[in-house]
Amino acid sequence: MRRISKNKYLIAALITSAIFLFGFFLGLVIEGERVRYTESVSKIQNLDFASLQVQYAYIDELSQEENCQAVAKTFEENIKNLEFTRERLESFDKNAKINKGGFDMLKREYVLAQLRYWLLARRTQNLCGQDIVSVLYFFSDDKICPDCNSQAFVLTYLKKRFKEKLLIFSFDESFEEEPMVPLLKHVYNTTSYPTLVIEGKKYTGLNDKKEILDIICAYYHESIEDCISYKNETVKE
Amino acid sequence: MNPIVNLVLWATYFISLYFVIFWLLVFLDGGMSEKKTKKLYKHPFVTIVIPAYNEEKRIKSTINSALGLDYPREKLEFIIVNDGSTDKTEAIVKKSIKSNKKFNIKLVRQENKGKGASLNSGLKIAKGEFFICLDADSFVKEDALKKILTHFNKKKVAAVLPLLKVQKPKNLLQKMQWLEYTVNMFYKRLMNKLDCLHVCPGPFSVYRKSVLKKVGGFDENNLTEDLEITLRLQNHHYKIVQLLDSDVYTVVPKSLKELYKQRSRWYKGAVSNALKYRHMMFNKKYGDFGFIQMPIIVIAGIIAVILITSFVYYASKPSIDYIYNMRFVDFDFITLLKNLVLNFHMLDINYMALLVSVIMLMMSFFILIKSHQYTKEKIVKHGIVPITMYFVCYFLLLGVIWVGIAIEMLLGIKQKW
Repeated sequence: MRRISKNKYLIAALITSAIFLFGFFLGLVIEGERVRYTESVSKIQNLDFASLQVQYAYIDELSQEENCQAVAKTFEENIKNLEFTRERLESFDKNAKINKGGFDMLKREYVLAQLRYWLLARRTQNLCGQDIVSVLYFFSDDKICPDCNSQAFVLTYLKKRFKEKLLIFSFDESFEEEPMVPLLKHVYNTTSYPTLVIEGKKYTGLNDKKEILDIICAYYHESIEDCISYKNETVKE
Repeated sequence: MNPIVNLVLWATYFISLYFVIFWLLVFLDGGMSEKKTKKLYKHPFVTIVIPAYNEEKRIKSTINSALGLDYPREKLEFIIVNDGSTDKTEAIVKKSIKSNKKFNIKLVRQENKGKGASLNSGLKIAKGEFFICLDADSFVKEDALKKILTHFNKKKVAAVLPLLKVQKPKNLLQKMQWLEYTVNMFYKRLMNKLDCLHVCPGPFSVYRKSVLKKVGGFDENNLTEDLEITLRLQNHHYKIVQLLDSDVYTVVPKSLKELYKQRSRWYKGAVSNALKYRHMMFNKKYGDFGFIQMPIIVIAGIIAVILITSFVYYASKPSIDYIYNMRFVDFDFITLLKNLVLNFHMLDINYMALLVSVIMLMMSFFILIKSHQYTKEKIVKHGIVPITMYFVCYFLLLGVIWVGIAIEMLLGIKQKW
């Protein structure tokens, strides 16, 4: 009878399992940390928003329009942070093993935060006479919307070109836990994805750089460098 | 990610880690030092068979290295089997015979029938108590034979295998194979501890001739007759011993194409022979060989294919997506580069994957160091570049070869159907 190293099979299995279990629990701890981290960031961002609201109210009340520029900078900074955290939250949520609920609550907060900024932008546009174009972007997962990845890429690119002149608010259409999402979908009657709502007008399907530039450049009152150079490019072609 | 894909991936990581830990346990249990064997008092008669097919470049030095063995001349017999060579192999052999008349060298001529048949032709007329196969691309150190023969100390020992090293590695690919061979020898010595050796390689494996005859000689219609004979010996519960002294040097492929050809033959042979002897799989009668080695032979390829495809997929997908997406912004790299923002946080890291990778890497390093220690070689013998490349891309390369072989095999099965 030949030897079977039963003990070694068993110990190897135990050690391997222990390493994987350790890794799994490490993952859980990290997940908890992720929730806590996003919560704390979200708290700060809520405060930032409240502060911004007060700043605009102050400008409005005391007719301090000359300070608009400074506040607009804060606005832009806040939006940028919000987008960073939203992206991070999306990826945390995608990798979440057990804490789905915790991430869903945070995602709701971010949907609301985005909408609050969107509404604020509309209100302050008149107040400060800012030349801003805002875009609502409805996306879905890879299966429903294989083009969303590319659409997000194009939007990120345009954001880098236009900076504070272009505000983009993204909404996961499948996230119906927050009632505002189905409401928006209903209002704009979005059925296929990606869908863009630019200054209230709906555009479905993947829109590339040129198509979006055509749309948004028509909205700017002042002449914006990026639009001029874009027009020159198209003229050349 | 698809949950089934996810599950398969994690199962693969688990199994890979399991095997590494298992062999480390084997190592830690009593180390690996070889038992001191007695000096060789008797010199039994030994037959060395050199099968040669179109080996005009190397046959002379192979014969010379065999003639140079430290062993009584009258107890040695050399049989060179010309397996239907179409080059000058035979003329060179004849010349060697003429100039070494003191030695007992025979030349056997046959139609091209392959290595298995060549070895059998040698076996038929071999007079030695021990039978040695020496591939025509291999060179043996003087003291190897004496050292090896001392290990035939029990009747059950059917074969003793030398320490195989790469002959004068020149290019990077050969230097990486040099590292691979060193690590493999360490593993083979561990397998030896559990009687789990599954291949007696072509260069200077020494067999007890009576056993070879009893089990029916070499399989003549086999891609890897050396692996087949070993599985057959295991099937008959014979003992095979792997040594870490007694050096034998072998020439390894110098180009990727040659390497692919060699590995393709090895892996296809391994799978088909494992299927031939599948009754040993998880069979108590065969002990550890049935429980750990047979499954490893079969799933090593599958694991390699899964690891390589997932690695290539996850490593290349972001860049492929990026280039695809660039189409929609007219490849305006400048704007994107000018506004590059890093949005990174410690919490973004996948710690589970990191943990498993770090543990695997550490264990690979440990094994690399130990392998060199036991084969009495310096790790940096060929510089730091081969080691780095060995870790970074050699397994990737072998994985790619596996994928190619897997595709070939799948197509082959379809053709049969």
